[in-house]
Amino acid sequence: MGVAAETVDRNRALQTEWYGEPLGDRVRRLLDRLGLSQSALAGVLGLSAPMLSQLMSAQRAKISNPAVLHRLLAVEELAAGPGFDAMAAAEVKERLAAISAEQAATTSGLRAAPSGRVPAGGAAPDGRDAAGAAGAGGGAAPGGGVADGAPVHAERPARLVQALLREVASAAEIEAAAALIGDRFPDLAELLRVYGNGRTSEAEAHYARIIRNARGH
Amino acid sequence: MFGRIVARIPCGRVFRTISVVDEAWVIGGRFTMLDRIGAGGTSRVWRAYDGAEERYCAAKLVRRRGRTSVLRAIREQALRSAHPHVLTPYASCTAGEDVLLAMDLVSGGSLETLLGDYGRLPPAYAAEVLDQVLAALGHIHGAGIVHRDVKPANLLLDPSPVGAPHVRLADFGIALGDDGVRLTTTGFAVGTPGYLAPEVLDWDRPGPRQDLYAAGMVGWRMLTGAGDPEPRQRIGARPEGVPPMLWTVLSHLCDPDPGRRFVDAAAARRALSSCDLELRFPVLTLDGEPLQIFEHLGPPPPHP
Repeated sequence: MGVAAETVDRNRALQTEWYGEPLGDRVRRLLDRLGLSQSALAGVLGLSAPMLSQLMSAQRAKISNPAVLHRLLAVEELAAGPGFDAMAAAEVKERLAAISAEQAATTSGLRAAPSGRVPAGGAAPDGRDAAGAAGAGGGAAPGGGVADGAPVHAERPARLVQALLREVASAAEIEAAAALIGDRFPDLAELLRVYGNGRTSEAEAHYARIIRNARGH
Repeated sequence: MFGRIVARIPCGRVFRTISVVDEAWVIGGRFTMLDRIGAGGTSRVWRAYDGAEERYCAAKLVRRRGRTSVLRAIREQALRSAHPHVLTPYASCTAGEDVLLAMDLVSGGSLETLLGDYGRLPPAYAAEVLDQVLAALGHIHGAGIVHRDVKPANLLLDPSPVGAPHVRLADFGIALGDDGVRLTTTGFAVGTPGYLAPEVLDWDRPGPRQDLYAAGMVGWRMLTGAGDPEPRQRIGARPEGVPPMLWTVLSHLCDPDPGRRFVDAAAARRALSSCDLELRFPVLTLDGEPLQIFEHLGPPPPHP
């Protein structure tokens, strides 16, 4: 027996010991059940396609990243669930995306809790739309002060306007422009100054105030 | 297959056409676009064959915004940025509304891929990667450039069966404008929130020390195995097995107050080297498995 074949045998034995069976068998069953390609499953698990291939062929024995094992278990649980057969393709896709976004619960204790952060579930749908349109960042809304009583979606539009202004002009240019129009158009000048040169929290507060007034709250 | 054809595109002084030859997509009469290798939804990076230099390259398509001095800006930037740990264009060419930037093909995936495959990395490994990132940052900062988007996905790796890391800092947010290299004005449209330093979140006024903060967050991910940091992430308690001095270096990089961070990348590197960590090959993961950097692209597709 060659060295390579010996390694594979040894790794398959180790995998059986650690995971109940060789990973090749275990993962292939999952692929069939989900109708996924190997590289698509690798994406869901958050591991590279070559790594998944190495594990399945027992060139490597162990899943080193605990978060990957955690997601593998979650995918298996989904596929083995009683409702899986009745699940629409779109729902399966959504559930897989949710699993893919999961992180191992190892760091939750370390997460900072920025002041003024809105509790989960409070995000307004239009806030998401703005983020989607910007294609910016993704994920959690950046922390930072949100004005008292301001709707949560003040954060992203305000940031977008900031980004837009700062894309077309420097701080000095914005300041000069605001000075130029300040006498005749004070509100416009304030807008330039707040979004162009102010702190993000000021811009968010300004946005929340203006929109709230416009809606007659 | 590639139905939309831009009629005449300037490449140097000669006007050429994007031509369709046996379904091949050729840009500037030189770059045969082979397969898309950019991972993100927004990046448009292709593996291409450079007929002039007779080699494969990564061809990045960047939306052109200004009209003048675009190529000059790219060339100047590339010249100023040449460094073993910085990935910059070696050639460029306008392509319709885009600029094509030709770069070395780096095929071992990114640090993001590596973190996905292995989770937490050994401290000596993390220190080596961090040192290379800081070397790259020291170089570009010296050239007056702030990267602004340092994160694991932008740290590319060469493949290595023994896990020897060779990091290339990639994906400069090349804000091409009429005023040349406007690397310092783009706001929140780029950058991943968790890697943005507090002073950038608050004021959107970038500076070199924001790159040090982001490098620190990259180090935090390597040493903790955690996912993307939150904005204003606290690095928390030192994980077991991480040398106290290394964790101290990290805490200085990640200090929310830019004034209390290292004064520059070189200072951070000096602190890192005093940690006195030795990386041995072949590298092993924390659970004793071989740490290998795989080849991710596979053989190139056939082309004319």
